[in-house]
Amino acid sequence: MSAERTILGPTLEIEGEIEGSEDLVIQGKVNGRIVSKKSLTIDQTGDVNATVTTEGLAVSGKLNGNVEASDKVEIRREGTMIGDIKAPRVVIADGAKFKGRVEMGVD
Amino acid sequence: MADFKDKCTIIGPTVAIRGKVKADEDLVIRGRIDASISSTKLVHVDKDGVVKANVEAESVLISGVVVGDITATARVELMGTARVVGDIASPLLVINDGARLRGKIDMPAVDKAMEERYVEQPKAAVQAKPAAVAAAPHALAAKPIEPAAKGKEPIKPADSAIPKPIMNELGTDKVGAPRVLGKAETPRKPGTIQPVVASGAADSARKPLPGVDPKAADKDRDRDLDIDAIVDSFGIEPEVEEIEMGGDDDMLSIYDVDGAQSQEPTQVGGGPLSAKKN
Repeated sequence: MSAERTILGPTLEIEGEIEGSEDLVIQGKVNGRIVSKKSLTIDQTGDVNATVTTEGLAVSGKLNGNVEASDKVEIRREGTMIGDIKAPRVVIADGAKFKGRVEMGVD
Repeated sequence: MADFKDKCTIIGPTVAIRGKVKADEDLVIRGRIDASISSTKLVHVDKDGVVKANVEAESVLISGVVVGDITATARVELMGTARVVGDIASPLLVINDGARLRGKIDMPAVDKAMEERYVEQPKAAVQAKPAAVAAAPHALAAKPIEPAAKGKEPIKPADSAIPKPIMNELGTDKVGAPRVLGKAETPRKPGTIQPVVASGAADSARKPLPGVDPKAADKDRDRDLDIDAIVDSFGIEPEVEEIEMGGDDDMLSIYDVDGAQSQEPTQVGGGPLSAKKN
């Protein structure tokens, strides 16, 4: 209950902006912008069409939009992502679908 | 992933959403939402939750702050910690002791009931049909005006004569036709709601009635701004206590229906005491 995590359920549709300082799990639809200071997980049922700024991102569902992460972006086996990634660490699992650019800030 | 299959979404205290939210599942709000919410299930605004937009849902349970209109198809309940600024439309409404509300209440069932009463009591009441769905408030407002407009007949006696039976109906139900009452009340459940409705209707009747009462309207507007500003300042942790409902006795009467019982004794007790001293 008090777990620092918000789960946006599968029937939830959000249009607009989400901002959070706790772990965020998206199982529904989001259109707009997501800003998270912690981790963001897009579950298998999740369908996100948004610009994402976060610490960590894990994609098991669909993500369409650019991502900027301060830590890590992971596209899991079931995940599909279209957009650019900017993050120091990027993991793309076997089976994941991805189209876009990756920038890992190699200085 | 089965872990996530709960049929309930909890929006945590540090989460803020702007825009639009649609849901087919229960929604618990502990954060801040500046987004119109439409849900086919329950929307629960928890103690720390702040919603600044309109809410549409099957049922709405409020323990936190809502600034915006609330429309429910089944039921609205304000818990004791609720702070609401906005109009409520719902067939069923519960306002618990301690809740604060500023806004109009509209219960469709009441409209119907009032309509039926006016239709069945055409003698003393208006010849002109009360604006159909508008029901009580408008009917009340219309009555004194209508006869005046129709002719130079005895206006003042009519004015004073007409409101009385209506008040009796609302309050004691002694005068009203019992048949109609029965019809009207069966669909609703707890008796407590009835008085809330009655006074709510009376209250909303009071406001439109004066017609020319710019002061009251201005006051309302001012309060609107204040409360908005206050709610804004809540940020994530609403200090609900700061909301001022502005010692508006008229407003208090809405939700003090139950509280009236507890308050009366203290007042009554105060009388004898001071009398003794004297």
